[in-house]
Amino acid sequence: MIIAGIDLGSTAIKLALVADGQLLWHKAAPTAPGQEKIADNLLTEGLAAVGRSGETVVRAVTGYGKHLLVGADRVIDELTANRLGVCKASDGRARSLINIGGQDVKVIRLSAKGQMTGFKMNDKCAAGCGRFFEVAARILDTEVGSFATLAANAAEAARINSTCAVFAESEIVSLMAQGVVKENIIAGLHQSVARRIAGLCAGGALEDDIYLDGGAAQNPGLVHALEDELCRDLHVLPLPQFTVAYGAAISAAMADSAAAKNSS
Amino acid sequence: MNEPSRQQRLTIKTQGEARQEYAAAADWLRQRPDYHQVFDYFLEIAGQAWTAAEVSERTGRPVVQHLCNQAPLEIFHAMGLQPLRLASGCCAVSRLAEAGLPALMCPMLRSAIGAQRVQAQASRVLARVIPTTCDWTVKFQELAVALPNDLQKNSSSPPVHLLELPHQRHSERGQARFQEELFLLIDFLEQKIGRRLTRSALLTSVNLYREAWAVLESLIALRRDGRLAAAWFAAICAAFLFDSIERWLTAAQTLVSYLQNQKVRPAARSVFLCGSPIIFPNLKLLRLIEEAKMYVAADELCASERLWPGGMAVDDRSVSGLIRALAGRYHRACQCPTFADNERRFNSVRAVGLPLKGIIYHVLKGCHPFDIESLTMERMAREANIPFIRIETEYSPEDARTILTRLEAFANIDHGASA
Amino acid sequence: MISIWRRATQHLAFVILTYGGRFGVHFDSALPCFSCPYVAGCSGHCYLMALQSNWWGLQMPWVVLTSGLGLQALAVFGLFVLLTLILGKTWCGWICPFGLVQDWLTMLRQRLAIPEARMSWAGRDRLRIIKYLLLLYLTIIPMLIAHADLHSDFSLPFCQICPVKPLMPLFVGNTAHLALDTANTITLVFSILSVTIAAMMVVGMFFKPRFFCIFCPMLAIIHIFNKITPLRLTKNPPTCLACGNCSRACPVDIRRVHEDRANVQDEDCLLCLRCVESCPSDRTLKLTGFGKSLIVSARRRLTTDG
Repeated sequence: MIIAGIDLGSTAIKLALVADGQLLWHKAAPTAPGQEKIADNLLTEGLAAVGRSGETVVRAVTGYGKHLLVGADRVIDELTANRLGVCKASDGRARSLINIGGQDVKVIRLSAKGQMTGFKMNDKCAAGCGRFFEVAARILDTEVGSFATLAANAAEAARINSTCAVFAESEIVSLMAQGVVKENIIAGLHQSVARRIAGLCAGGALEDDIYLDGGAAQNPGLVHALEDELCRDLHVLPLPQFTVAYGAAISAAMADSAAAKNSS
Repeated sequence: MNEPSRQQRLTIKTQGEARQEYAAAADWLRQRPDYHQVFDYFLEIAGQAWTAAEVSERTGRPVVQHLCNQAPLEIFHAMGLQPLRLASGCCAVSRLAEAGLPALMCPMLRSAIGAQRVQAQASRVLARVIPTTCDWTVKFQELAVALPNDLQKNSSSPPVHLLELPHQRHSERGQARFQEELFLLIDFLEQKIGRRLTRSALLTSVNLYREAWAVLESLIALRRDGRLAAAWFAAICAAFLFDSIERWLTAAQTLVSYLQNQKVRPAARSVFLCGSPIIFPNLKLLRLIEEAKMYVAADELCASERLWPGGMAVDDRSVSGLIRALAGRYHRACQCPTFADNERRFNSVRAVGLPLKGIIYHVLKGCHPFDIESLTMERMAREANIPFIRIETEYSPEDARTILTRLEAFANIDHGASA
Repeated sequence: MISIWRRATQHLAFVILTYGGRFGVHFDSALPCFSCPYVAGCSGHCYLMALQSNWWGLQMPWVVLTSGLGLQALAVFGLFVLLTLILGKTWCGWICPFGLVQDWLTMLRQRLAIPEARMSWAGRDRLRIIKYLLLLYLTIIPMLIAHADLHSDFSLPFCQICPVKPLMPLFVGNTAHLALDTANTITLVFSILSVTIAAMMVVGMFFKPRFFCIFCPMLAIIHIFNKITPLRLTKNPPTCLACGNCSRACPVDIRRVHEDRANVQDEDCLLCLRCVESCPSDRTLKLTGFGKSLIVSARRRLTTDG
């Protein structure tokens, strides 16, 4: 059986093809109108890539747009998908996870058995999320992908107080007007976001063995800044953007095997 | 006839939007599988934004507008007046109040001010009675007059009586002062209507509301065992706020006997809802909780289970005895977060007597008392090992999906493992 | 329901205690309630008289005390303690005939819709000590008569001023105790005091429920055994919503029952259970006997009883 875990996120649509718990193929596409079509195209592309076109696929959907996909075999909430994906990918070692998504940050605490024992999410705004970096990248005329390298070369991090994407925009503009170099501004951005996320993690929200995922976890500059703020080591899974889609697929596989157990 | 001004056109447009918002909420309820025609009365009353003039006509009594839970309804009723809650749950009308009011304002009162603005008929309000619960209510009149009604010619604001609320309800001084406040309220109303409050009328009203309270208690019992969804409860409470007690009581009694014949449906994931008020048609949070597969088995909202504090024991039936009992219930027994001595509020969670999946704490942005008290409630929930989630929101629907993500995650928290 | 049962019990007890003696019922002289010996044909006597007396009480001289009568006095005392232990304050709220007389006055006032007199919290608290002072008075004077040659007209010092003595005999048509006793200065003073106190009490009891109970030395004695009585009023603080119905309904203004504590048995409590009846919270206030719940508060009760 082949399972497609589909994560209809706020900034990107992620698809993971999974068979027997193994990730076969993955790809992300930016979120745009007509999400159902984009997801379908990803699925067709993926099946062709792994050479299993035409096979029946179980579609497990999660993410903000999860209700858009008509006829999905399984709809699962984001935090559960996230938890399952990270637990599986970390071989059950994860006890806390921080997901930096496009529009929100989720901090999830897990029991030793991988059950969610608590979570925290930021308020409704792009503060400290992937979207924030995209806005900054546009103003700085720089790819988000090169943020980490640039930040590593910063002489000192510029102080950025605002974590609101809208206000930070004007703050960045004024820093640029003061002649602060791009590298320093980016390092400052990392720090500011890390501070914000660390604030969310305060008060016992974290256990040890913290895993970081979500699209923004691909940015090592942010990971280092967050490690500095939290004074803890963070683990980043190889494909941090796809853990939620992968988790949705895992959830469908678990439901399937549970059903098989019940019917036998 | 003059061409309507731009503001008047906007107001008229908003009127239409508000009507649609109410109708949409009522329609959603009508299409539910648990709908039955016994609910029709509640949908009829709750499903519209009634003006004071309409309410006055329907009930045959002059209207006194009031805010919050601390002005005894029995006093209004005994004086031949119809109490009408100024509270509003309508999102559309908020827009009319947005410009010119503080940005971080309590959404409930912003909507209430907006709702006053769209009332085209001349106000037939005898007076406004406003308990001084929070800063927003104290300043309500000031904010309301800042935004004049441009649909009514010569509209003037009704006279206002502030019911000063002692913020310590368990002290002797606080209790004595509130009793005094109630006598001042009676003086004020007597002057307005030119009649005295009689003991027999007050006693009759007290008994009527006690009867109604018994019915409310039955409804609460029915929601505990899964037979009454929160959205219905909201409609029932809204009807109470906007219609005469006699009509509501008759309809509620019929509803109780209908529901008592329904099967008990113990909910798998019962939650306790508390925090800022939820008023029809603002069913956003209630709908999302349901969508996240949880059931509100109990709440502690001031326009819901705490609708009015009827659980009153009365021994002394003189006027001062009745006022003392009313003061005791409306002030000392009131669990509004405006009070300083509210340590035992969490007990209402413990008193539910059901296994709870968790506590959902609703904070309307700008509603400071509930915002502040959420800290205490969260700490006590942690001590009692009950999952707790705080949802901060407004009337606008744009954050519905983000809230749903949280609620779904909350529904999936492993309670047993949290120790 | 609790009030109805209590009223019924009180009336039954009143009839039996006041008139039972005429039908041969007699419960001896050790009753922990005001079944007054001055009422001809009553079926049992208030122990306070025995306690002050020179036959079974503190006014007995040493010689008598060490004789067989001393043992008998001890037996009467033992019976009193036993009765007190078994029923505790129930004697006050459910049995005491004078308690019912006070309740009648309250009912009359309520019927006339006359407001109850209110006291300040501090003022009310200051009155609490009076019952202990009266207890001290009724124990010391008899001993002074027995051992310090105090005039014997001082005997039964509490009965001499107790409002029950002139008032209760009225129920058997005896007005004699309203008259002044002019035998000597002591008796004259006592009888003037007695009538004055009785008149003041009638007024007080009309305007304030159970006004006399505030001062009753019997209440003080019963309270001394409070720690070991099996009947207890308890509270489950976690489910108390702090609404205040209990303390407002309390005829003797007890505030402790409203507080955030498990032991709410106050020294002035009459176990009338009006607080339990008026509590709108399930399983919060309850009467327990030997640790078993007997009567428990319930949300539904208030909707039906008020």
